[in-house]
Amino acid sequence: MKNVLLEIKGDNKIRVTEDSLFILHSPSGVNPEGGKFEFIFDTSGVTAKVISLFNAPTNGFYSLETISTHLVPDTSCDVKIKGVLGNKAESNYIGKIKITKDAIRTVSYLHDHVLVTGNGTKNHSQPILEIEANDVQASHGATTGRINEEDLFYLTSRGLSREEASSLIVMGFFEEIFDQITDAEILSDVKEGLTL
Amino acid sequence: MPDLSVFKTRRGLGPDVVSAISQIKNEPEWMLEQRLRAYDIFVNKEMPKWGADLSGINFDDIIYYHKPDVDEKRSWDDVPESVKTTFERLGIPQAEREFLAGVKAQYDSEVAYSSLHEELEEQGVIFLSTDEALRKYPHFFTEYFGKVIPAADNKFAALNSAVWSGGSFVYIPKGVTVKRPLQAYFRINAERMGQFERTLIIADEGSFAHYVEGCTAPVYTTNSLHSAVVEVIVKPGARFRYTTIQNWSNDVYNLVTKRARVEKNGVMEWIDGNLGSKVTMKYPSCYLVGEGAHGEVLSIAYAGKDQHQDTGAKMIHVAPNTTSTIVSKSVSAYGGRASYRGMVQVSPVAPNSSSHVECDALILDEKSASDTFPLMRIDESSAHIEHEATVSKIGEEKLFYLMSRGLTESEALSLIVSGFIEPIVKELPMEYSIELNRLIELEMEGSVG
Repeated sequence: MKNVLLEIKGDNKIRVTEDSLFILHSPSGVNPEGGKFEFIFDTSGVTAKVISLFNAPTNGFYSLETISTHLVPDTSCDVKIKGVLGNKAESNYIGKIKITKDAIRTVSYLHDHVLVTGNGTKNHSQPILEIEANDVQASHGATTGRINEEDLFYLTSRGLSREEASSLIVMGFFEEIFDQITDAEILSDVKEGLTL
Repeated sequence: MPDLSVFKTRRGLGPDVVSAISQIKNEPEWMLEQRLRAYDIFVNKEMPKWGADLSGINFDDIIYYHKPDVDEKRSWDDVPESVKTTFERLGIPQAEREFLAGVKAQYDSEVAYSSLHEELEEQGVIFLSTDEALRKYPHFFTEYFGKVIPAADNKFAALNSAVWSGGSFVYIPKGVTVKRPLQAYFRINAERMGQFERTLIIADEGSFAHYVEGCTAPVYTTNSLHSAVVEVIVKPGARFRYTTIQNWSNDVYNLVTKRARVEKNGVMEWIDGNLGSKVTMKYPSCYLVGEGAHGEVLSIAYAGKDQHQDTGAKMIHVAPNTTSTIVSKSVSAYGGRASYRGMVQVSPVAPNSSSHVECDALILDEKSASDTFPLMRIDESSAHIEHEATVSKIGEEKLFYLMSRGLTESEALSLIVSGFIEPIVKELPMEYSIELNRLIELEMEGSVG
């Protein structure tokens, strides 16, 4: 699948004409101004994946809006946003899936998972569905939570410090997304932006 | 249908109408002042810019108060024949009365019939019309009325605070468990009638009760407005369940503000069934203000032809160790639109809170639509929040499986839809779940009631 790296800024409308993996990325790790991306599906038969990862440091701010607009039959889209919030960090995510009347047999998913490692964090999430066709599969899920204490205990009981254990878990949290990026250069840019 | 009103205010709204209502009811001065202040707020507030289309409401064309010529009666035998017939059409069998603890039946804007079962009286439970309770127990009103939902909360809360009439007042004393559900029925009768009942419920410490409300209205072609306000205070350790099965006729605008304040270790459950109406906007909410409080909303919405159900829930966590659950199931068919609109907010003073939200929507045909607009504002770092939503149609294979066993398409559809909403329907008192299932069956057959 074609890998496309896009920087999070501005208001972007992108027509999806071939199967693609879009990676939405902030080189500096944070983006106070945010960015908006509308992925327009007006070519039947295309599949797209949209991923975005963030690791907000102390006082960091991450903001993103994505819209998957399905206008014709038989397209599919899978949006996955995963991020970590450090001390006093904030994130704002709006994710909309819009399926119009004609877009039958659309398959569209959205996931937004935030892992909180710091204190004093704020996380605002709005996953929106606007569906006007019935022969579709659409769903979204969003979670927010701290690292599981049991997972931490398991690792610290094997001799790792709490910081080492947290780091390892955060790496694992992002790992499933890394595995989807096939372009080595893009993958290294993404990892750099995450300052792991 | 007889129009038993001997007194109604002039068409439209003004301070004169508000004062007239207060006068008829012989209210204390402070209530009249509150009503007039609320009227000013209503006039100055804008209509909401979100949600369903409310442009069809003409505030000048509504009669805001309507008194029937019946006073409150003690026993079922004394209820006038015309009122009884109305309730018989709702299909309530005589035998059911035995099961009901206390019944308040509202005819137009007044409570026409009330009876308090001996058991309730012995326990010290108060279950009256709001009008009567204001006269008998004003201290509850000065302490709690308008404190959970102030008039300035939204335009329709302001309207209700100005012209409210009828509704229920419930007080459950400390430590009391009310075994049988408390029930209330009411309906809009006259053409162009507005309904503005105001309900205030106080569940004192350690108490438990279940309140059930179901309402129906006959079919009229001009638009009716139903703008109710329900305030519930759940004191420490108390548990209260408020169930609504509503089936307004297809010309009603049903705009309701319902909110509970839940104190330490209290539990509040809203069970909300929304069928009928032209437009419903209703978001039962829980303000979890005490440590360990729990709020729950189970909601079903059915949006048929020309209907828009814009419903959901709000959970506001402002204390430690609070939990909330929202389960919403909606079905849209024949061109209807069902929208879930909700909010989960965890403030910085609510550590160790958790919330789980699940919304599932079934869109039955190509003409219908469904939306979800959930908002999560998590401003605390130890919160555990989960949200999921799905939208789908009924799979062809499922229909084929049932039809190949001899069911017609509409029988198969109604069976599957019943199964879809079953997790919520099984929480309803039996007579309601039967009525609800029957209503769904009727809707599936395309013959809307």
